[in-house]
Amino acid sequence: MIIKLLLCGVFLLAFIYSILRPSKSIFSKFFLIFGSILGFISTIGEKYIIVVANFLGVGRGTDLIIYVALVVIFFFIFYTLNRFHKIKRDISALSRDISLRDVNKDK
Amino acid sequence: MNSFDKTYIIIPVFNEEKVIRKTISELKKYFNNIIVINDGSTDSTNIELDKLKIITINHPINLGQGASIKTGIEFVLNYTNAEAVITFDADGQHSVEDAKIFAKKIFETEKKIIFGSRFLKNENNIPFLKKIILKIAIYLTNLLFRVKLTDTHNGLKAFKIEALREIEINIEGYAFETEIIIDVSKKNISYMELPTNIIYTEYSKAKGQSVLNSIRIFEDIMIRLFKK
Repeated sequence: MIIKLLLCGVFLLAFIYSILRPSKSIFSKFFLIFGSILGFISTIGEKYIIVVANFLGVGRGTDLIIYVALVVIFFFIFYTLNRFHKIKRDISALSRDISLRDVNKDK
Repeated sequence: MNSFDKTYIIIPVFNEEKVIRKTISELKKYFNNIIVINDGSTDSTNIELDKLKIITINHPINLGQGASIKTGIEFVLNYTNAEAVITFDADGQHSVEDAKIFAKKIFETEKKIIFGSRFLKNENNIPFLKKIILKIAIYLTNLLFRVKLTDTHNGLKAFKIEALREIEINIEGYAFETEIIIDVSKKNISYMELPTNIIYTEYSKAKGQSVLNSIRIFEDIMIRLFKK
């Protein structure tokens, strides 16, 4: 029971954070809101998860949570890698500008 | 003004303190326009470069070979009146004689790019494992991008200046070579190949592309393919 309370607390905080956090990206806001709600429901509402799992043809609620979690994790990795590449490109462009400005042409 | 005066040599450099002076001294016997992009070297490469009378562009951090070539190209396009560019490796693998042939041929031919090839002559110089990896990369590149090249990852290349305006390099790492080929294929840029004699020393083998780098190249290509 303690673990459930702890998890509920974490997901509740995540939800409040997702609402209050100013974010340019709607995707990341949605990701946080959806993730925290899903976490909250899966912690306290196993019976609802089982209903959804049965509806989707997945045997157990736990299986459904694992599948969804896997999809979310891979989506998150893909999104993070894209962001990482964009930051890398920006750093390269910035470094190049600095280099070309400082180039010592009078050697 | 001969073809060597209208040609700029771009050399990306990262931690090449042992060989950079020799490489550039050899080139300087024939070429006046040498641009070195010091890609955030952490050894004494920059001290060696300071002793040489060449244009040095210093990246504040290590960005990668593709990023260095891109910096060199941007410099040539914006600050010089070059008519051709040759890319040349810093580790002493490339022959200056080959660079001279490329510099002459790029003005004689109507083709916009000359790719260097290790497989037209001197194939026996290539270490066995490297040869296998290269052959696989060449086969896949030709298949995926509908080109006919015998070597897809040779650093020695010559470009007419108009070709450089058409090519866009976005990959910072080694895979920029494939990115050039993708542009050549998509934009129908004319090209030809010339044989190169690569000198594999213990030093250049240690500095060259490892199997791990091949995986990174593959990753970069996949990212580029899915981006466009």
